[in-house]
Amino acid sequence: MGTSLLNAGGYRRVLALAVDVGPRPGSLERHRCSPLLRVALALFTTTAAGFASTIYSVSPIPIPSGFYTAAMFGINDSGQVAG
Amino acid sequence: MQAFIGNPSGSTAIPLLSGWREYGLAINASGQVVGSGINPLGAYQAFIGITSGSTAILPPSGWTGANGDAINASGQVAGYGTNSSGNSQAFIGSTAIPLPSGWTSAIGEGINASGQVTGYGNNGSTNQAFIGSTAIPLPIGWTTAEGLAINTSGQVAGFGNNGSANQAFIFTSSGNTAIPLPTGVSSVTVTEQSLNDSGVVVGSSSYGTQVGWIWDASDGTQLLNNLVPSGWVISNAISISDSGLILAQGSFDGGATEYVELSPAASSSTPEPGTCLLAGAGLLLLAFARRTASRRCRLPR
Repeated sequence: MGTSLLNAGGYRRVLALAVDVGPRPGSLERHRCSPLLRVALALFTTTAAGFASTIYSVSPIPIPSGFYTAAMFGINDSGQVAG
Repeated sequence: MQAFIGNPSGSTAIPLLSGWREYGLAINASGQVVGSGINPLGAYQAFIGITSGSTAILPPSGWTGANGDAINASGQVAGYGTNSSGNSQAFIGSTAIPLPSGWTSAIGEGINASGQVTGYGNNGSTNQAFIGSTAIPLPIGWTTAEGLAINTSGQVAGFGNNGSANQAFIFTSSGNTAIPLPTGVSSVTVTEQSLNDSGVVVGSSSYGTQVGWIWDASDGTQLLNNLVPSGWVISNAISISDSGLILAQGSFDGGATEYVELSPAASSSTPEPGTCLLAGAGLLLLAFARRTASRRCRLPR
């Protein structure tokens, strides 16, 4: 879980970068009119969402060969489960 | 009915004891599985299994049956069974754990590295959680509480009735903390729960549809559906390891529900190639836009 917390922080840092390149005093009009900058910011927003949207990868666990049904209950640090 | 050890690469059946039927309920770091079986006499009995075979655990003297529920890194087993008075009582190994004073029954559910056992029992009027032979106070205003897991710090996770609905809680040295219900959930049935050594709790709650969630003290309660790749629906979080691996149930794109392993942070710390390309394109465009803007700025001067 510690890793996911780090990643949550990373997500926030990416967002902060996207915000930091926004309008500065005296330059608001110029940025608003720049389509290039708008595209760049849009790409950054999409990227930030990409970084943030997945904190866990998902891997199906097959049931043993020859079993019709299975229930699983516990997991250890090696990813082994009991059932 | 046969126990097994599984992982995303495959699952292996644990050889049965002769004449037994067995199922596994927990696994430790060494890959030892604990569970319950029906022995040739027709009685429930705990066992420890590995991929090469199973070993029966003798119940405490005079007991008529025992179920293995939890196992720690040392191979100590906790569970519950039927004592000589016909009542449920918790045990560790082959030793009965004395009931808290005034209690009529106890069910052992979890064990930590120090051999502390948690669970719940009837205190004479309602269900209450315990550690060893000591009752854990009910959260204020709650009418029941059941301990389900305990970590090396002695923190206990469980659930109970908060007076109007079932809710999860964590008991620490600071007392009880109610775990907030997932956002948008007002009434729940807590179905599964687990706790790791970092104090992270996973569980599932049902409110029409079932949802899996994760809780920690800094991030609060989060729906696992919001933390997995698009298309996956996580309906049940069953167990969490100390490194944060989660055993859950989920379905992909409306398919059948299956057991899955959730691995933390793989794609956040190592973004997919598409994400990297987008980031690179964004950086290049930003640099170009800034350069263009600078030139425009200088022209009038």
